[in-house]
Amino acid sequence: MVETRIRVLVAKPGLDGHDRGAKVIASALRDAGMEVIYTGLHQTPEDIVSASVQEDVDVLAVSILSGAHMSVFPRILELLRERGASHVHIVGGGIIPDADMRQLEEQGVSRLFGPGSPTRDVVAFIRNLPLRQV
Amino acid sequence: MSTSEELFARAQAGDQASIGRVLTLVEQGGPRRDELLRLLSPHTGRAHRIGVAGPPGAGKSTLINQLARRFAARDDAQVGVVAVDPSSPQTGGALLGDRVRMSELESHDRIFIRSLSTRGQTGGLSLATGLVADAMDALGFDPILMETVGVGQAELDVMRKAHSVALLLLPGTGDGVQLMKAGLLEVADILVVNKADRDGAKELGVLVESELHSRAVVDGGWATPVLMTCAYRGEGVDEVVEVMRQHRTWLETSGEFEARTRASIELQLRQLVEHALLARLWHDDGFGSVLRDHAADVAAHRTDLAAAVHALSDRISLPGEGS
Ligand SMILES: Nc1nc2c(ncn2[C@@H]2O[C@H](COP(=O)(O)OP(=O)(O)OP(=O)(O)O)[C@@H](O)[C@H]2O)c(=O)[nH]1
Ligand SMILES: [Mg+2]
Repeated sequence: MVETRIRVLVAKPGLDGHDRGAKVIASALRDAGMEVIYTGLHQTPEDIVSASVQEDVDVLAVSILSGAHMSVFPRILELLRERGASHVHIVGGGIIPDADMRQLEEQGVSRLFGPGSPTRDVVAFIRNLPLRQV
Repeated sequence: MSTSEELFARAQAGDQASIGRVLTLVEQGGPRRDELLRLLSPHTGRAHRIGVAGPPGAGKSTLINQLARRFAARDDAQVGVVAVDPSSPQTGGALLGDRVRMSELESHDRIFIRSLSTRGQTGGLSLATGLVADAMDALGFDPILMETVGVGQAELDVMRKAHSVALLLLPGTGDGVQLMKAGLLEVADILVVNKADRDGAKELGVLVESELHSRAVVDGGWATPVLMTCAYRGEGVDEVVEVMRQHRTWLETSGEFEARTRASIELQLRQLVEHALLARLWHDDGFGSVLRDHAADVAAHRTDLAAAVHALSDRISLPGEGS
């Protein structure tokens, strides 16, 4: 009897002071039957990756508003690789210009969602990700 | 995909991703769990498991954040934390937020935190916690701090996987009285009145003290202490650590450590057997369809519930029963 369930870590890096968006996504994913680990505000990429590794998540959902996306996402990708966790899918949301989005997705971010993307799109995208086999 | 042996070896060598994977596989069940349990088993039985229980918002995660750092600072110990929360019975989903109050531990390479939910199994919370704590134990984590919210039967079962139970109480909520009624004081080895900065903390401490005082402590027994903390300022936490160490010493010298380890294994085994039997029962739809037929018969008054239960359970043969 193997019970698998999608595990997602929702993180909010950077210094901007509210996490409403992250909490909305976290609740939507929970309501979709996933196990969501919420880590709170002001996380560094190191903290986020460390928590993702310990929690052995399938997906890392990063909400970012501070404009630091071009440093945060590449750093997360690099740390995940270093720590043997490059199987973790990264999705992100925030105010990110199209050109940056394309570049980050080329570097290995699975998908970035702009502001106002319906949460059900995010849920559906995560549901359809190919998960690691046990 | 690596073999269980390779994965276990990397986890033993301290690779965090491999430790994380072992914990997942052990929790999930199936043939990978069986292989890992065989590999882990010879290394278990050393760690001190400490349960931290109490009502929602009592400050359990905040206290664990403080405790874990202190334990890790001494003797270069590796500290495991298992934070459990129930999942939604409707969707099976869960929002696990205990890490928010433990963020100071994220950068600590000798503290490993794992969040767990029930996944809708009966006894699931307790079983999963026990399995994950076993795996942490085998991988060298000691102590292992187990957080569980609420004070119902499922949470009590989680605490039966611990050697020492610290129960947190919250002033000004009438908690003290309720918990005493619920028989929770009986399972607690250490009582902590947290949020000692708040009104009513002292009164709650006194109330709990007097309740405990009225209970006889046999010679050589453990007298449950009542401690006051202000967890988010780290006040009173050193005393909690000290008492937890004393309790471990008491467990070891009194023989209780082994007795509680055995009791926890017994419960673990019982829960695993129940799962295995239920899995066999519902494995294909054979039994389910017979059950539906009986239900239809009850509805049509061709039989009654009691007779249907007898007929159904007679179909299941367990060893030791004549047929
Ligand atoms: N005033 C006061 N607040 C505290 C103290 N310790 C923790 N808190 C606050 O209490 C709130 C709940 O703390 P947590 O550590 O999340 O409590 P918990 O028992 O783990 O909560 P759940 O896991 O949700 O049941 C937080 O806002 C803490 O900052 C304390 O000693 N005094
Ligand atoms: Mg908590």
